[in-house]
Order: sequence, then structure tokens, then C-alpha cells
Amino acid sequence: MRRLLDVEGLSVSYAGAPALHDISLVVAEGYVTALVGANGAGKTTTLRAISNIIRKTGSVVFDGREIGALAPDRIARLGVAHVPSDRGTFRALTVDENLRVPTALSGNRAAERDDRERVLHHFPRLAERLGQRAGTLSGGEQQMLAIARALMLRPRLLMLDEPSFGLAPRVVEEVFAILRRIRDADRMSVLLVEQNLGLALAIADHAVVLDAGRVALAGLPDEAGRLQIVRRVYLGA
Amino acid sequence: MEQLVQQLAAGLSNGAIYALMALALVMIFVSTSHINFAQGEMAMFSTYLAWAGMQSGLSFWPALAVTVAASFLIGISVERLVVRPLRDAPHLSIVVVFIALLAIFHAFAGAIWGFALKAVPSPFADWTVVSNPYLGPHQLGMLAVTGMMLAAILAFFRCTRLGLAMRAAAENPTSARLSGIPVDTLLALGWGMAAGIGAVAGCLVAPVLYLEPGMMSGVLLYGFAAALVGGISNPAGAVAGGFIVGIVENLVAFLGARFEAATGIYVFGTGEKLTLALVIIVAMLVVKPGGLFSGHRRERA
Repeated sequence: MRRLLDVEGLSVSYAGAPALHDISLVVAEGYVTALVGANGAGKTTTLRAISNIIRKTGSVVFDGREIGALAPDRIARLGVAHVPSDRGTFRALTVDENLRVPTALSGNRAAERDDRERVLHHFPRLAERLGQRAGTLSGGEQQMLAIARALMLRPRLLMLDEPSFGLAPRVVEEVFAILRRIRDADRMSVLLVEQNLGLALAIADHAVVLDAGRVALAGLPDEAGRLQIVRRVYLGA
Repeated sequence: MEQLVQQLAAGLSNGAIYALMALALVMIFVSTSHINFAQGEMAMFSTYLAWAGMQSGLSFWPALAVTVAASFLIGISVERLVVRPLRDAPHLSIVVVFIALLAIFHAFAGAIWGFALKAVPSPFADWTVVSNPYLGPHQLGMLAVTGMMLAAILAFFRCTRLGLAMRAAAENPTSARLSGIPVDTLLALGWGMAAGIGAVAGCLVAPVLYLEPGMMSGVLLYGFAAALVGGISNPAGAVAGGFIVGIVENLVAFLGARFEAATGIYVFGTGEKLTLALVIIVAMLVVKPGGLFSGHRRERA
């Protein structure tokens, strides 16, 4: 098992109030790591700290390289694609333009077309709506667009923040089916933040439970570990 | 009737300049939600650079080209040195800084070049080939150059990859960063472009207004009115707003003159043109802050 992302001693405070205390976690290359926990446990904050869009202390090593001090856009170009919980849709741009933002200043048009082709293969719904303004898409389609846009970065690590948030159960199923296909097709390494524990544990190879800004438990979501994780998240014990 | 058409045509050519200034304001507003109150004085300063170039023997167009390049660098420097360190400062502090910038550019221009009016020759003096009863050669030239500039700028945003990146960065900076776009660099670039656009506006209007440190303060007011009419976050709307404000301004002066001719009473006219800009600004802010072309009312802090 190769460590693709190695986070150590990560701490974040919001206006003096600590939100993350000294957390450490590892994402293994080619595996899905789920970051779970109650509301406000610090899951989203962890992703933001890794992308460096909030102030933090601690070390973040990606692919053997310390990236803690790099600018967010630099981290993204190195191959860490962060799909934020608000989906980051460029509402005034078309679906096609949204997909071309990550490659706008890098890569050539031919490579961009190939990548778009490859990515859209996973998202037939988006392929039908390329010329449509992204702001007019449904919530599920915007989530798909956010994932597709992240894939356009040719990421080595995909960080997903609550892909199920605000979506109807049927749409959630569709999104997770796509995620499974992407994982299987590309052996993509994923750090998945998810409120829906059942969904998260069904797709994850490894789970980290956060509680009040600390790592409460890290383990395998197999039959033995599953019960422990569920108890830890829901009962805090 | 002849006179009315003449006034409308003159309004159109003034409107072209307002459209450029409005576009410069909008460029900075969409990416930072700040109104750069120093935009006019920066344009005035640029015009002095062009004038100095012409004094040292350059003709109008080469002087303009050098000036646009220099203004681009000035714009980037202002963003880097003054605006970026204040990124997290409260809105009001930034407003004060912009007003300080206005005073600084004004004072520097006065200190270097003096406050006396300077004549800037029109590059279109020999455009009499396309003579017509409505527009003088310079007004026609202003319209033509502005039209080309606007088309080029809109094409830049619509059709180039850098333009796409800038639109993304303006709409959602965090998401753009997460998509690998160096938003800070693009912000500086936007400031440079706005300064360059202002420089063109200043150089085009200088042959009409005469060059002096206060030359652009009125023009900026119209530019602001135009941006509000068109929607302060809508570049194409701002351009339309520029032409609307230019035409309304001349129309009001024309009607005032007519009224005076008919009744002998002066109510309003050329003297109230600047007041009109202020009236438009206040009216737009109160009634339709999102601009004439916004579907629904939008409040902006």
C-alpha cells in the first residue's frame, strides 16, 4: 500500500475557536477513504485545509511532497481535485465552459477534447446539456458537473465533499453508481466526506471517524469494523 | 428635427466614452465587488503619458499604444501594491483607499505637468472623407475606435481560454482556485486591462475636453451612471448603459434649450448635465440596483 496523501498534525481554528485538533490521516493510492462523523465534526474543514483554502497548521504530504504551503490552484494542478459541498458551479457559464475551466490555462485543445470525451462518457446526462447554462441544471446534474469538472484536472486524488447533499435518493444512487464506475475504471484514489454513513461505508475501503475535530477511530468498514464505526458516529462511544 | 438627430448622434459619441469607462469599472467590480473611484484619475494620468509621448515627437497612435502598455503595468502595480494587501480589509477601508488613489493620481499629474489646460490633437482630423451633417470627424473616430475596442474585449471574454478563466475567476473565485486557476494573477490582469481601457477612453476624449488633472472626474461619474444603468456586473449591459446615458444627457440638454427658446425661461440645459448623471446614479440605486436589464431586483452590499 502506497501512501498518496499523508496528513499529520493538522489543526484549524475559526476566529480563535478550534475546529480541528491535530488530526492525522492517510489516503492509500488506489483506494477509497471515507471521512465520516456527525455534523460539525470537522470533515469539510479537513478537505478545505488540505486544499489550503483556509488557514491551518500541520503537514500535508501529497505523493511524497509537502504541499501545505502551496496556493490552492497549485495544489489542484498537482492533481488534488476538490469537489466542494456547494459544488462550485460556474452558474453563468455553459456546461461545456464549466468543463473547460480546469484546462483553460494549461494543456492544449486536443488533449482537452480527449479528456472531455473520456469524462463525459461517465456522464451522459451532461453530454446532452453541453450548451446549457450550468445555473439551470438540477441539483443532481450540478453535482455530476462538479465531479466531471474535477476529473478534467486529471486528478490523482479526488476529494468529494458530501456528494449526496440535498439530492433525492434516486439521484444519490445515480451519482454513487457513477462514482463506483469511475473508481473501478481508473483505480482513482478518493477521499470521501459523507454524512450518509451507509453510502460511505458501502463504497469505502477504509474509514476515518471524526468527532469534535479529532480522529476518534480509523478502521476497515468490514463486518467487525462497521459496527464500531456506526456506534462511534451515532452514539459517540 | 435636424438638430435633434445631431444631438442624438453627439450623445452616441459621448456615450462611447462612457461605455469604455463603465466597462473598466465593471471589470474590476465583477472580480472584487469594489468600485474603483480612482479609475477616472488613472485614465487622466495615462492621457498625460500619451500627451508627453506626443510632445517628445510621437504621433497619436504610437503614443496611445505605448500609453496603453504603460497603463496596463500601472494597473497591475496598483493591484499588487495597494489592493492586494487589503484583500481582507472591510469595504469602507477599501473605498477610502480608492479615494486616496484618486487624490494621489490627481496631485501627481498636477505636480508633474501643471494644472493648465493642454490641447491634444485629434488623430481623426483628416476623416472628412466620410463627411456627414451629424458627426464631426473626431466624434466619428471615437465611435469607430470604441466600437472596435468593445468588440475585441467582448470577443476576448467569449472566445479565448484566458477570457474563460477570467469569467470563472470573477464568478466564483474559490471554485476557480480549486479548478487550478491562478485567480490572484488574473485579478492583477483585470486591473491592468481596466487601466488600459481607461487610457484609451482618456486619449479619445482629451481632444474634446482638453487635458487637465480634473478632465476625467465628470466622465467617471457618467461611466458610473452607465454601469449602473446597464447593471454593474454585466459588461455588455454597461456598454449599452454608456450609450443610453450619452443619449439621455444630450436629449435633456436639447429639450431644455427648446423649452427656453419657446418660453424664455431657463429650467435645465447644458449646465445640468453633471447633475443628470448624479440623478441617474441615485435613481438606479434606489429603483433598480441590478440595472435595467436585470430580470429581478438584486440587492448589493
